[in-house]
Amino acid sequence: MSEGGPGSEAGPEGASRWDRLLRRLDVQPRPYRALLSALIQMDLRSVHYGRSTGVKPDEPLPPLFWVTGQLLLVSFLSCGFLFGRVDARAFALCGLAVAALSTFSAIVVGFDEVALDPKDAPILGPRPLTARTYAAARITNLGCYVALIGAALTLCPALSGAFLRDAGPAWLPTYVVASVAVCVASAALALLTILFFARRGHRLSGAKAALAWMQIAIFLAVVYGGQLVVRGGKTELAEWAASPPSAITQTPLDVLARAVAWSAWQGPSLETLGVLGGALALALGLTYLALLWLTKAYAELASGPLQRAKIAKSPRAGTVTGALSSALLGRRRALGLWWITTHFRRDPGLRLRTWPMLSLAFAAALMGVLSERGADPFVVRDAHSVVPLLALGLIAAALPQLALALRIGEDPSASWILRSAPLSEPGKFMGGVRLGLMIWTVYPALILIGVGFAWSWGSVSHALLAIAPAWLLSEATAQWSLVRVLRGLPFEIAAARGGALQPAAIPSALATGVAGGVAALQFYAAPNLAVYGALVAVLALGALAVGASSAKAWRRLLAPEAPAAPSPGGAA
Amino acid sequence: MAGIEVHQLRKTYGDHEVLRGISFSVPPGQVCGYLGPNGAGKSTTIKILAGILQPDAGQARISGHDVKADSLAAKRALGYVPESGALYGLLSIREHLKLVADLYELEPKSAAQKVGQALELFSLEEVADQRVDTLSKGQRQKTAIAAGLLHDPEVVLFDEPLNGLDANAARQLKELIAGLAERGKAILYCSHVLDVVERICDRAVILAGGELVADAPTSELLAKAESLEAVFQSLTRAEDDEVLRAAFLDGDAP
Repeated sequence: MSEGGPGSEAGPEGASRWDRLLRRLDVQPRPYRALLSALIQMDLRSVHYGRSTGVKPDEPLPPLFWVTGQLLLVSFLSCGFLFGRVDARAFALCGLAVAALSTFSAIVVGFDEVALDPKDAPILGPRPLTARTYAAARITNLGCYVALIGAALTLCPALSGAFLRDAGPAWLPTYVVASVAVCVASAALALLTILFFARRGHRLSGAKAALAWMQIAIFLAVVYGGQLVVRGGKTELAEWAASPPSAITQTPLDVLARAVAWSAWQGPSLETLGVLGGALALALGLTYLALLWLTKAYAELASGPLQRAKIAKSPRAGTVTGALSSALLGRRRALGLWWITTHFRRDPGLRLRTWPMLSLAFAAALMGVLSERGADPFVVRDAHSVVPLLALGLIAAALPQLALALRIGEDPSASWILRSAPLSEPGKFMGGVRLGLMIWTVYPALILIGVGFAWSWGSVSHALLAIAPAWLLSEATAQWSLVRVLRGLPFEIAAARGGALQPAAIPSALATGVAGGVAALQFYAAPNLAVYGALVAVLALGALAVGASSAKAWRRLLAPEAPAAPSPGGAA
Repeated sequence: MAGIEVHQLRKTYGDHEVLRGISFSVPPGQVCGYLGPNGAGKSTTIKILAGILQPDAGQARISGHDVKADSLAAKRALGYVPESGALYGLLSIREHLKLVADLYELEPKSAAQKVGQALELFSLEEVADQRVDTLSKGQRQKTAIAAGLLHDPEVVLFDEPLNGLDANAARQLKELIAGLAERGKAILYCSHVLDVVERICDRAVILAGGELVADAPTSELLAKAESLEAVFQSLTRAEDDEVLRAAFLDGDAP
């Protein structure tokens, strides 16, 4: 891409101050404005016309609404939980930490669309647009996105914090300034981190996955820390917040939180204004650095070699495993299985959209084991043995979101291939898809958590007994979720900016409720193996029944003209 | 000489050398056909000339400007009509053309006039305010052509421009290409439709396996064979094509 810039060219006479500033930064003013305007228009249209994550055109609420709504909810819940329990400094710290983590993860997940879209290369590459101009337009556009999510994350703590006992009217402006600095700095840091790992742009997917897993690890640590605090009760929470560990007091976030709290209590002083000003300056400095690096990354899009993807060998007919799966599953199921597993193997975006959905289950399991609340429910008969069952149930609860993640694909226009195929028994094909989804998400989660419990309890048989209901519940929930949430063939919608869970919100709530109920039943049935066995049998029958009805549902959804095929067992 | 100049261009993807030191030139006022079998390196050459890819070695110039060292000037002189019609689907035709006009920093009044003329020429007025992703393939292709010619470039690269165009639009484009050449533009026309190349191109450059296998006026090539297709086949066709075709059609093992 073009590296030469307009900085050395004299601008036209009468150019505005803004244009002169842009030229000083080696940004072409008019192309910058044109591209920025086009990017914003495209962002807004991708919202209104439903071309975005999992939201179809007939759904009334646009996904950007859901993105900001989700963040508003997270912010509201954390404010509600902490208000009246902690002092102003801890309140500010939590608010700023939530803002930092949420902004960071939004940039990480949406990086390709948000800041550097390889699809721009064939459209903008031949145009006389410098890499710096492109980067500036993209970063400004990103700034609009950051402003939206920053506003969602700032609103609740900024408004509610002013009513804290140890805060005053100065809380609102000082918190807003701090939050803006944190959001901008987090966004810039996310960009810089990805670009640092990515180097030449073609490693973006790997960098994204690495950072997403890092986020999950941080989330697990925060949950673990949070539950330790919460279990201590209101008094202990306040005491902990008043004297946090030095690992927290030495962070920039805590320095900023202290400045906000001090300003809110005593009014702004030179020192606190200095801290806030410094935070803003740091945020702007990181943004400028991100601009420089993004310029380089865009320029390198042209010089980076086209990577010949390492094609993972997928077993199909003609190989031993391909023949085996066809023989065991039937040809259509084997096809569905192959298709979905190939996507999982080759599309890091798909793994990134699905695996993190199981993080809550892992967090609960880890929390239980590490906090001595992960006891064997077949031995310990009190509250200390509830968490493991809940953790297993949360795997099933994640399935509506996993189904939603299957809506999005890299090549949605290729969906015609399956749509035009004579799929007379679509239930079997989707059965293979479901099996592939389970193999790549749920089964490994069940196995890993089960192994953890077996080790912790010292009993493999008890771990297997605990897993059995969770496995059956997951099978049934997977069948139901694919019909209810996916509602069609996978990968038919293009990814776009922002992640929205709206189509899966109610199914997720239902699945979570059912999972909680099953966990409770498991707990009470555990002392009596016969009753426990009956519970497992009921769940097995339920899974079969859900399978039968989902086979019919797939026929209705995907092949309404085809005559119903005779189906002895009815299971998909 | 200005126009297009390519000298010892090389490009490698991994361990596969796609371009092996090719050299050719297209002077102003000439329409040069750029041909080759699939995977020969045509699109790679076009992308290097368009500034989408960087060469590993060699030089490419557009109107005397090096595509690497003086890329902005090269791009200002270049009009590129891609095969896939790479466009922003969420913008309307009018918005897309306006974006292009702004990217080339065309004078606003003349840009508006040009946009209007392009919409009229390609019969896009009625759909000018529709989003590109709602258009037919032919309408998208016309938009891409309009976007490539809006700034009156000195050099034009066409990559399968007739894709999706109806007969009238195709005829119009061929006449447009002839008109551009008459006005001194250098045109590189990349296509698999050899009878069109035969009719509109003054010269043909044939690429095979990353190397030039022919570079001559079309009249000269046609003097050696009954058609350009015959020339092309004699230079690039695999030996066992007929056997493989028979096997495929009859369901036999080759």
